[in-house]
Amino acid sequence: MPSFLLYLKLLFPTWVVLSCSVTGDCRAKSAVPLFQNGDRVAFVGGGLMERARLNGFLETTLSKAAGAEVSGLRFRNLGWSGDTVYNDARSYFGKPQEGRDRLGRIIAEWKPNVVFLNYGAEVALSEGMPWTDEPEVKKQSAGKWEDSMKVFLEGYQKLVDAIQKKAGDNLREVVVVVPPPLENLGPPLPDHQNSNIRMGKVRDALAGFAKRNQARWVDLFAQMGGDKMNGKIIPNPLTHDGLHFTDFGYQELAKHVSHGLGFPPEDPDFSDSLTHNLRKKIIEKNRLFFHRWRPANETYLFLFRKHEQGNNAKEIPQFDPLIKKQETAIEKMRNQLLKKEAIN
Amino acid sequence: MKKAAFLFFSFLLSLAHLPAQRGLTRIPDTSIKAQLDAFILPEGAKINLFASEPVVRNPIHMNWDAQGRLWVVGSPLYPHIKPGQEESDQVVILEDTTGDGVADQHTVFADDLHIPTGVLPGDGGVYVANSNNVLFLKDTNGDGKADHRKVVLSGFGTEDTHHIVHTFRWGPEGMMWLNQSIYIHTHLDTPYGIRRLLGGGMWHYRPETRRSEVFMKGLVNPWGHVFDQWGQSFMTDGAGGQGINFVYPRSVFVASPGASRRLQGLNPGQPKLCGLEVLSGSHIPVHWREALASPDFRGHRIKTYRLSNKGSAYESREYKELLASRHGAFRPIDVKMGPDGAIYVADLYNPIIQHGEVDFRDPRRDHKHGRIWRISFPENPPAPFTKPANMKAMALAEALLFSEENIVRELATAELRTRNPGKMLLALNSLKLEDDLHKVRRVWATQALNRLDMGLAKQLTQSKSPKARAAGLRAIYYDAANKKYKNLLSIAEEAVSDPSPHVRLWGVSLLAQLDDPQTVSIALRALESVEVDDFLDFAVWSICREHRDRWVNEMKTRGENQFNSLTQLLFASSAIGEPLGADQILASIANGKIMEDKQIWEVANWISNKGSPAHLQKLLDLSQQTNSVSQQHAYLNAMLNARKIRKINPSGSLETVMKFLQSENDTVWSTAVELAGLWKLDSARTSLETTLKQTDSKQVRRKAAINALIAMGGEKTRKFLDQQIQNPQVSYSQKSTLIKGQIKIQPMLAARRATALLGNLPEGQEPNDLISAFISNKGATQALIKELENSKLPEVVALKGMQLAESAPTRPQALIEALQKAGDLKPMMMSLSKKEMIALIDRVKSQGNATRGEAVYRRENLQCVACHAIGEVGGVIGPNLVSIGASAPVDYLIESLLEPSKKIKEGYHTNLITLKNGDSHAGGIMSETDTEVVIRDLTGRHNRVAKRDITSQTISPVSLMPVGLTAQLREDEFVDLVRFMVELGKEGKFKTGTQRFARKWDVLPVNSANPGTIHHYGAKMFTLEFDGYEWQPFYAMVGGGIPFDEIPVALNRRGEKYQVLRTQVEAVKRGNHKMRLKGNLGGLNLFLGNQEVEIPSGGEQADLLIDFKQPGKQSLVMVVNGAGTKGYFALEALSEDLRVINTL
Repeated sequence: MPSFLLYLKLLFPTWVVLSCSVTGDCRAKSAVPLFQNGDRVAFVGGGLMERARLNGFLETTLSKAAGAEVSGLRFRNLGWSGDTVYNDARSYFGKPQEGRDRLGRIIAEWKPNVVFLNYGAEVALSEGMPWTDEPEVKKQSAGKWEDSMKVFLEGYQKLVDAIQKKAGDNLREVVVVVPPPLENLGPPLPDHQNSNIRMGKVRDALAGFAKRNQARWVDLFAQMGGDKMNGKIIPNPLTHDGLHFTDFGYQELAKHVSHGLGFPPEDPDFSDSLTHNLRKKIIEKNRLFFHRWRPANETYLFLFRKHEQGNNAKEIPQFDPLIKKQETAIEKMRNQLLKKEAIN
Repeated sequence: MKKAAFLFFSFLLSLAHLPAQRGLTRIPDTSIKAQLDAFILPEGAKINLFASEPVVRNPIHMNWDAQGRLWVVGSPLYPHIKPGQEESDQVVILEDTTGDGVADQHTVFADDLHIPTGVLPGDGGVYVANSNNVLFLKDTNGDGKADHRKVVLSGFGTEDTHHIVHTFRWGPEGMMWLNQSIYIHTHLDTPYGIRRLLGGGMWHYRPETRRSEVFMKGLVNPWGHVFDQWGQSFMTDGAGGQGINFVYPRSVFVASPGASRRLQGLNPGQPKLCGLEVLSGSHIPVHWREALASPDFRGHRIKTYRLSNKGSAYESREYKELLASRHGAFRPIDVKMGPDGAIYVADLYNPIIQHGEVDFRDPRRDHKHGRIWRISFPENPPAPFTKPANMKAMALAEALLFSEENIVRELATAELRTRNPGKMLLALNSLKLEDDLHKVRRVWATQALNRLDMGLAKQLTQSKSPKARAAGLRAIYYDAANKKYKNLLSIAEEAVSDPSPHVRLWGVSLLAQLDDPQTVSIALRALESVEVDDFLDFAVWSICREHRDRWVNEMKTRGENQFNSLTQLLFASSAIGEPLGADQILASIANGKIMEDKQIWEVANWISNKGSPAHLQKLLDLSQQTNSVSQQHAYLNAMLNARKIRKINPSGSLETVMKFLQSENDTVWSTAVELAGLWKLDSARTSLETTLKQTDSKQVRRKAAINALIAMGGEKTRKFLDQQIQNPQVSYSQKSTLIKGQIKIQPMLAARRATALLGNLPEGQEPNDLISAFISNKGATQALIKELENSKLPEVVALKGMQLAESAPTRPQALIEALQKAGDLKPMMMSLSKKEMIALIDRVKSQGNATRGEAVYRRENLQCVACHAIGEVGGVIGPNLVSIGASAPVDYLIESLLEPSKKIKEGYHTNLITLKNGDSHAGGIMSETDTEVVIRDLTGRHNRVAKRDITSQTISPVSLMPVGLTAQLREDEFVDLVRFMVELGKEGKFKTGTQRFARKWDVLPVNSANPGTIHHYGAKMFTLEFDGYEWQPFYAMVGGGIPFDEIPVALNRRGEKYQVLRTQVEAVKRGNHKMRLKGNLGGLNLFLGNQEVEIPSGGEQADLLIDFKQPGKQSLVMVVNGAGTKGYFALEALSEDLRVINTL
């Protein structure tokens, strides 16, 4: 049993284990709020998470939803396109293990209190194809559905265990975010009917997975209508290719995450200038952090050519004060926004 | 020799007092005029400035839109964003509204980008590479600026900012093509699942389906891609050196990670190229049309190439230079034909290129300037151009099918994609097609609308022209994977037996897309009854692997060969590296059905890699039955490798190998002896000891005997070795060999014996070999360090040791210190202060003489030539230096000579593999399989290493170039050497031109063995077949000349000297071919085969008409027969259909 669970039990002896039905509303009605003062939050996943950094809707929504009683929230987007539970995409010159090490390092550095995890779409989309290069399981990932799911859940468990280990006692909450359904936009874009059936199965498996890990979970698949999609063409799509969300789509998705976590249903008004400016600041902070934690030119800065241009790596920590400056401004704007809303 | 290493440095100290003048801070004149004055143009061409800073800065890539406007991306941010810096790189649209060849309007479309390396207008907006993403930007309100932004692809790696996704282009079939370079590891989230490409390669992407797929893999910096008129793809490489590369689906090229096989480019020895375009259209003179133009950005010039058909692929020949410049900041990195028929060149404008070897923040790096140049031919009218954006449906259809201007068809294809498909299909179908090209273009147009006209594509596969058949197959290829069509198998089946190997290649490529159990057995037919080149062979090999499960499962179910022949089975099984059908094939050897040496080697190697112990036993049995030395060697070698790499032995009795201890062939004997050792056959011991005791045993036998004794191990071996080492009768070199063996079993004792031996190094003996043996094993290094604690070494030995240790990939610091102490040496200081560097640069510029420098460069003891090529010829261990002077700053060159490890060229990093027994292997990884890694060492030798023996595999920060090579030079010699390198690739004598000199020669060594018939045959004797001739490589100078004083005197007969060289040429057809001989022609005798070629006497130049009685490759032998001939000679091919062969 991971030490994390033990720790939770010691800290919250009366904590009610969250229970979620597979298809039903899974809003966490826990007595314990998700966010606490000064929480460090991390988003971990594939392209869905990574692209969220570019528009800031998710972070703005959650930051506002946390309410005026919580202050000093800080978010880091650690999403990486094409990632899997084995962290394939995070490795550069090595095997997926290198990717796990890279994630481990940033988790150990950031020491998040709350981690959002989003994986599974890559499995639903890859029937009969390997979705990971992890040597031990690549073949199974391309094999029968049961085998593919088995190695997905095993990998996910190892990922959660590793995050718990690296974050240490700081980690209080893990949130398993089920991928949203894939949209059928009509030919020539692909028909996702079968992929959504598989996605439903991924969701079912994740329900048990979240429970076993005593993690909160958000069933975006159900909330965003995945169970009711029968291959029909979506009239008002939230994605531009069936998989990737539009700006409008991210606003909707952010709401669903917020609602799924049991936050009050008042969603941000992104046309409001204060909210807009807050979101812009968040995007700028995300941009700076991107250059800080996964800078370009890693080959020269930190990897096998660092003996040539590694001296330039000294610039990388110089992003820290810039990020901090943005975060101070973000906190100020968030307070203003919450104050304004309280008055209204 | 004493303290030689320090001489050079004391001279540097004296230089430091010179006033620092220019050196590091001198940058070229940034004015437009300075650049204009520096251009060198071909006849009839004119160059003018189309646009420059501040409108465009550091342009990287450009493409035209359907309105005839040029979209350019540039990056002042390159190479790396600074903390606090905005993402502020731009996409700029340039327009020439007046038709005077100068951009008079510009719009900044976007100004918030991060190192954009690709731009492609289309689909109502523009696709832009933005580091890890590809964006689609659009102007929705008509103000000319992007206000809508969408990430269309994400997950591109960013490990190196000159490798990030680049080289965008619309294909004729309406897909977007994009490339990435070697360090990039890409993981795209797509609606079809994740697509990965680790390392270099090329993608295609269809925006309307959002499908992205990998087309080919490899190449270091594939910065150029173009389609020829039949839609075939060609690529260039900005770090590889093979000129034009013909690429096709699933092809794999240099540097693709983990690849077990790679294809070659078409022009080995070419400089690094960036960008690629087909020169075309009515404006440019006929002799330029259809040439492929690619900028040599290091050499400040644009090179061109011409293609012709060859086998399943192409031959590419270097053609004329389109443009050259003497300006050090002119960096052509993209070239595109423009709508007016002129040639447009993007000039990054930078005295400094790339950022691996030059600091990110080097102040000489330019972040301000940038130019777009336009090359036109004023005598010709501009090409006709109507904006495709303004064309009505019928006009657009006509442009697509009939325009003879490539640029018009390209832009029309992009425009087509934005039009109503129904209307466009109507227009396209209403036009009459006159020839195959028109048909191909209509097929592409339908494909660009994502509505492939399959009927017409199938019809194309039946055309008379092989090019059209191939184009039809390629069109079908893209759609075949989507499984929308049936009955494609029969098309592929017909294609694999096509008379044209090129069509077969595409037949196999199509098969690879199909989901049928028969794909492999059909593909194998492509290898029958045509000459199979590497490209076709690779395609079939590749499908055997990719579709492995299909045929292997069937083979296992059936239990017999499902293919037409055993040869096919052998090919397929070797391809997947599994011993399927091995029993049948071995039986065929036993009953004499397979007898050729080549096939025997193939089978033996395959069994060695994949066979079972029972299979190996069959090899041992077969070895007993043959009298062919080559076949005996094949079997023994296979068993040896199986033992070394896979640790397996034949299943039965091993004693029969003892038979070969009687062999007179050294190779067979040595291989058998090594096997006996590894198999621990004690009965061999006496024979081995005898070999070692006899003073006249050959070195190769000695080495094998020691290896075998070591492998047997035990007290007997230990005792015998030490006795021999202690025996005063045994010579130094033999002792050295014995100690190298002893290292493996008793490192401490070996260190003691070695220290004693080196302490009294006999006159004229080299300690290198022995010291290297200690350095290349971890345990031995430790033992030597310990032994040196209490011992002294002669200064000269310690110095050699230090040099070796300094350049060892493991760089054993403790050993370096121990050697220093043991030899009472001062620390070796290799780096220069800034002041010293400036003084030295000044000296290179004022006093360096490149001609003298070339002679220094070519000195045998410097070994430059052994590792580095200049252009086509020379070693391949280090980077090609063909344009190093034009690309690298002087300080970089000096630094690289003094401290080779400080800056290491991309692709030349040393891999360091450490084995369980402490041995280390360093070099480049040549190939890799599940069980082994093949690593090429400094001497060019390929070492096979068992993966299971490896404890660590890392990239060493140490260059393979030995430290201290230049230490033996006098100061003026060093200055000359640097000057020579500075001039390499710059306009002038030291730039390799397009003249086709014979550059790669072989020479006979000094006092070469000969048949002794010189009195009878005269110089012709050297053209005779004779086993004793040991030809050694010899290369021409950069200018093509062969200096007489460097050619060894092969025979000195009563003062009459003979210097002998030979080179290879290939005649495309028989008959007379013209060659030109230049230089000092007295005393030269030239032979084609054994037929003498008459050389007119007198003069410094002679054009020779040589009668080639048959086509194909043949040797030319040159015998220089004149005492003390001075000067040089050069031999050049003039006839178009005579090729000089300068590559291996």
